[in-house]
Amino acid sequence: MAYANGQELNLTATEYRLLMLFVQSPQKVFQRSELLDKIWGISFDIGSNVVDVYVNYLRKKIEKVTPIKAIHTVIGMGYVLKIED
Amino acid sequence: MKNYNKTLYALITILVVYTVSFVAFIMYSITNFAFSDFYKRLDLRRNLAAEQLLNGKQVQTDWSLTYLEELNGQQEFIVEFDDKLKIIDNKGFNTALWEKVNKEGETNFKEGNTFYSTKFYQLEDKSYIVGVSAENYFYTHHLRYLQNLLLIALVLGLLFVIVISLLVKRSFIKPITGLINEVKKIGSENLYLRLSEEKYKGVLHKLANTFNRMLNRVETSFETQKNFISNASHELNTPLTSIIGIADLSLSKDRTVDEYKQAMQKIIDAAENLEKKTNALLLLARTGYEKDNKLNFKPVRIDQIIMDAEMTVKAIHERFYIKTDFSMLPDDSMKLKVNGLAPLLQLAISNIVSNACKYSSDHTAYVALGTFEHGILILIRDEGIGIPEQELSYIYDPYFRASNTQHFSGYGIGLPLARNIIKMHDGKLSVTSALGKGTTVRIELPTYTPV
Repeated sequence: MAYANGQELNLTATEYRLLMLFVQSPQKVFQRSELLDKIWGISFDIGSNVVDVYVNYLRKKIEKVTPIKAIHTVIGMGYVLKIED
Repeated sequence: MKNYNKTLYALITILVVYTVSFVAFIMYSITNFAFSDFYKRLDLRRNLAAEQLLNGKQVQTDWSLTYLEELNGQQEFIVEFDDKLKIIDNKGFNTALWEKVNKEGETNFKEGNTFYSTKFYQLEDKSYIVGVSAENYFYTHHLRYLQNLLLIALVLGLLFVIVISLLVKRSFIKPITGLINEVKKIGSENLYLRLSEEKYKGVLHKLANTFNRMLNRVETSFETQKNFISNASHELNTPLTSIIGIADLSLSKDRTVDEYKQAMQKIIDAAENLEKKTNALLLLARTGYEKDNKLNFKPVRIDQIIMDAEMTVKAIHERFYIKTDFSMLPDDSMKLKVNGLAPLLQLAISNIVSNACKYSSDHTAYVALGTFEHGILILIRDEGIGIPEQELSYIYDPYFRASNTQHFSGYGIGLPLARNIIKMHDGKLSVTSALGKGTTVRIELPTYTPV
């Protein structure tokens, strides 16, 4: 279970794995293909837009309980987890 | 039925007893009335006769009395007697009836059909009994007529009741007996039998119809139970086979510790898979497919269930390939929530997906997920052998397998089971198919709405 600001985030298995990936390597910019590969694996033929959809779901759930923006889009590159002051 | 007959007979008896006592009461009161009325008329005539006979004159106090209608067989008589009540002189009196006469006052009595009215008179130290006798025409004719009429009516009424009860027996009790016999023939071994509704009319038709619909429900849940057993053995066999296989292989010769560890890990994986399945099946058995078992329902994410179902299918069948189209996912993840039981929904979807892969030469299934205003749409498509058009209506029957599936192993339980699960979640499952081109299964589920 994942918590933000002391509140449960209520993530699905996929969202949780996505979050863990970001948390384990903060500041690292993940490319879409890398996320796709790490979360869904090569055996899952699912289409690359799902990465955007699920990052978006995760981001919304985090932003619902905390005002801090945690997951950022790096245009043309991918996504990164960082907490800015 | 025995009780029913008893009630009927009791009712008839009550009716007859009531009618008879009613008739008897009428007869009694009319006879009473006829007697007292007739005696009054006799008394009038007797008084008149007494005036005539004793005084030898006609005292016409009331003219109407003179013209009194002469009664049937009307006879006046006068008897003179002494103080020892011995008859001295008799004019027109049947002395056999002397005993009945009141020697000091008035008497009214009846002998056969003849009615008498007498009165004692004292005149110049002589004692007389003056009387009039006549036949009661009303009593002998009209009343007899009424009596006969009532008797005939009674007999006719009885016949009527008997005929009616026979008719009732034929038109009501007989069909019920038939219905009972038909119902008796239906048992667990021939639950597919139905009552012949068209044989019955009116309420019984409705009864037969209701009974048939109940049988449909009973049969479905019966089949679900049977399915559960088949499904359980089928689903549990796969991981069990792999556990035995792995253990067998690693025991066939001496191996390194690492190899044993690997084998054990594989066994654990398979056993965990087995555990998940038994839990899902137990859940299915416990909930049945009836709608009222929603206590354990929770909002679950359908996208995750689809992904988990696909993982399960792939874990069992390595050659199966699933192409998932999630490009229609909504921006709001709340729209992907369904109120339900995740293991059951997963079981339903994995059943359909593995069917899609199984019946396609390239073992490929195409899964798409989308949402609409109040619901979720899942399309599972394959480019496989398809279902013959004329057999499409049977595909939800448990154990039915289409004619073109001989070369594929299967039990004919996956789709009915999946459909039951979807129905249980207030969803719809429909199948379209073209022979040789492929099959599409369309699942609609209502979106979870927080109360």
